[in-house]
Amino acid sequence: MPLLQGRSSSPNACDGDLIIVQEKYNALTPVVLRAGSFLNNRYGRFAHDDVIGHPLGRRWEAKSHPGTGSGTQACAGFVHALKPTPELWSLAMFHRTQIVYPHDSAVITLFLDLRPGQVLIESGTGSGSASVAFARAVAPLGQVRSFEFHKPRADAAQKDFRALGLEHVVKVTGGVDVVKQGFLGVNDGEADAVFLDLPAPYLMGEEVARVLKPNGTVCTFSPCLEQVQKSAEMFRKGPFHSVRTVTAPVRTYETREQILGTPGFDELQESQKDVANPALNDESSRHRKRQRIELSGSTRRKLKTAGAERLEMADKNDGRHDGRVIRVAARLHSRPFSSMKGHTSYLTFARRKRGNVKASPNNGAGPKLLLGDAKSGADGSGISRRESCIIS
Amino acid sequence: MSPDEQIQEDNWVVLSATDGKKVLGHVSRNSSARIGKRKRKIGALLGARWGDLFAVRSGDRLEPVEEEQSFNVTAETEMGTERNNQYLEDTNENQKLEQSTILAMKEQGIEGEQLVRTVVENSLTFRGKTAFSQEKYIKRKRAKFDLKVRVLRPTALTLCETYFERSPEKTMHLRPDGLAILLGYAGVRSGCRALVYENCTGLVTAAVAERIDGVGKVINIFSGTTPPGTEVIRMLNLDSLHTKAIVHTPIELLGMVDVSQSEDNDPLRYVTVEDAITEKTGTKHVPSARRAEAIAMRAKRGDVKSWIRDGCDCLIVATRFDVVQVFDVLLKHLAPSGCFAAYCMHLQDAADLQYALQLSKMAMRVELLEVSLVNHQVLPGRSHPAMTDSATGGYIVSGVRIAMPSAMASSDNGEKSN
Repeated sequence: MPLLQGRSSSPNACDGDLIIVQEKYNALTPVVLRAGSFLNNRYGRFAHDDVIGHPLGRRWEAKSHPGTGSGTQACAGFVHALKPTPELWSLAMFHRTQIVYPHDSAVITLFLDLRPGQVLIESGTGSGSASVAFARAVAPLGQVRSFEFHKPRADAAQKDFRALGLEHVVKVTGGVDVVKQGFLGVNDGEADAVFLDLPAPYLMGEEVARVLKPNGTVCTFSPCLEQVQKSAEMFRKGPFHSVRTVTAPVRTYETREQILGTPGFDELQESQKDVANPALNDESSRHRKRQRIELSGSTRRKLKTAGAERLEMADKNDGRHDGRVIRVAARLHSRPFSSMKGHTSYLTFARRKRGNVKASPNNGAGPKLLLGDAKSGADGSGISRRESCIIS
Repeated sequence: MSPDEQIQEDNWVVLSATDGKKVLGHVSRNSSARIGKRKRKIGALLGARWGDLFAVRSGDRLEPVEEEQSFNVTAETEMGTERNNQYLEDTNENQKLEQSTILAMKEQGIEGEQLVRTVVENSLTFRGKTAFSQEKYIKRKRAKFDLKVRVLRPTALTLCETYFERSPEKTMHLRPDGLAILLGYAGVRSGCRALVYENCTGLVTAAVAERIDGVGKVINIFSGTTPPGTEVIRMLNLDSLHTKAIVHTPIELLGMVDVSQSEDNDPLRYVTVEDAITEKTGTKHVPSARRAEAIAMRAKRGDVKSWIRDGCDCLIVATRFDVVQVFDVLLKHLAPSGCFAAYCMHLQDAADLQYALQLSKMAMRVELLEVSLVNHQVLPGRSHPAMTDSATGGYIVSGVRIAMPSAMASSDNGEKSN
């Protein structure tokens, strides 16, 4: 299924489409559909023909269980067949390099002001996860022109983009070292935005200034502060404005239902129930009481949550769920997952000034000129000296 | 130069000032905006180009200035540590110039950098400061006596930043990082049909409209009479093609999507200003010709119904009301494999939604995340996260809509394994 499939085409999956198969939360696989083919995994043998011609976003049931080989359906499993998105793709793809994660590429897309129809220059391509996210933002008429100095990696990425139906949006140039050779084939002032994920983005100042339109945006993506310092200095000395450095980490939360009640305390309060105790009449204690009646004698650990009850009801109803999004009467607890990606990269943004601005190699230190003891202030230029930027 | 690059009468602009603040302006010959601490005339922006730099001059007017660097960066090694704040006394006597003298200088036409220089020269403590604090001192004085503004195009990003700074309660404290993830995780792109419900004064609708770029539809569900709080949409300076892609849809229509009605060929109707006047005065008020034309341009009821019936590609919600209820109503109109994202100001709302979605069997990959954006000061030898920053970007619940298992047609076995 092409990633950018339009509304006019059929919503059904076709022979040759790339889809994303979710086996479990952390197991996503890209699959190219072929009539007559099968997908084999830990949950069984899945016929591509069961998906071709049907809409995606639903269960894909196995023909047989792995190992048995026979057509028995006693313990066949299911997976989910989904349309590819840049977010799913970044999890399903083969990581040839450290990738740009979806939350970072989302922030970069907005901060670079990417729009349909724009031209984005990117280097390097890497695994291509950012390229796919940017392609979605500039498609259908815009372009992502991606440079990668590692030729085999460039070829592999180009192959991925073709499989995703993005070959008209993303163009990869492999085997070019942009630091030495520049953005080959990119004309002056042709780019709306530049994204640099390179070891030394700070060597690209002049080249970025050359290809960017006035007000065009640039982002450097660097994991280490040492690189960021050099990049920020490059932007300040060059024809750029609105320089800023941010990090945009996300924290993922899990939400569980709290098992209400406290061992010993419940029993104590129960024994005191003749004593007027309004607290016992609230909704949660009614629920707790119900649980206790249903499971009399069993341990607290086995108490059913309201959520589990809701899912069980669906099972009793022939597996048919009511499909409603509703609250259950329960108290919820949320906390961040115990581990997180604390740091991905520093994102440094800048905008191209208008006009032909050249960076001078020497940066005059403004404040120093003001010191009475520094002779250089005597020429009267003081802080009004137009330091390193010459605008023609 | 295309006219699009020039600022025209009636354009909205975002003015980014050197004191670090952003303000909105509506450009006309006599309009003004609050820059620094006072109202300044912004008529000079007419005909200027986006990205141009202006200085605030006497008479509270703007004047175009040449590009320059705001200040130079000195490396730590050049700074030395022999000077420090050991002998610094925190009094008001450190500046020799009186306020009246400064005002008099301003009247004589001494302004901008020249004024800053005089103020710096008359500071008793300046020379004792380290090069680092001298830089900071100059930066502060420049913000006060040599204020400059850069005129930026209003975009989802700049508008989001400006509202977050000026009146965050109007846009539910939605920060650019939250907006970015909302648009990204919901998969908004040109050509898609997006279902939107928001209470952010139109910011989210505007951002989606900007992303789809006139191709596709933004179905903005609203309740009440006319679409409320859409001021941010107007500020994007959208042309008619882009405006037409936004379909403000009254919530009542969702109850009628499967019903065929005689008025389906008519354009969408809201209770309008005219209706209100009619009701008030008792006599029928006829809309002006221009307004009648605008109403006729609206999408037909029947078309909107069929778009919703076919299913939307993405669902974006940012509500200060009951987000679970909103999803209960809207999620079924998202096509299977479509992505959704909801912005919540509070963790409790986000958690309720996450849990309700997990139990609904209508969604998978349901994630709750807290977004954050840390600004960093990056200077040679003195880089660190900003000392004062906004504490949180809020919470996003995202996921993928799936068809109900019972809707599976391909197999007759109901066994489950995962």
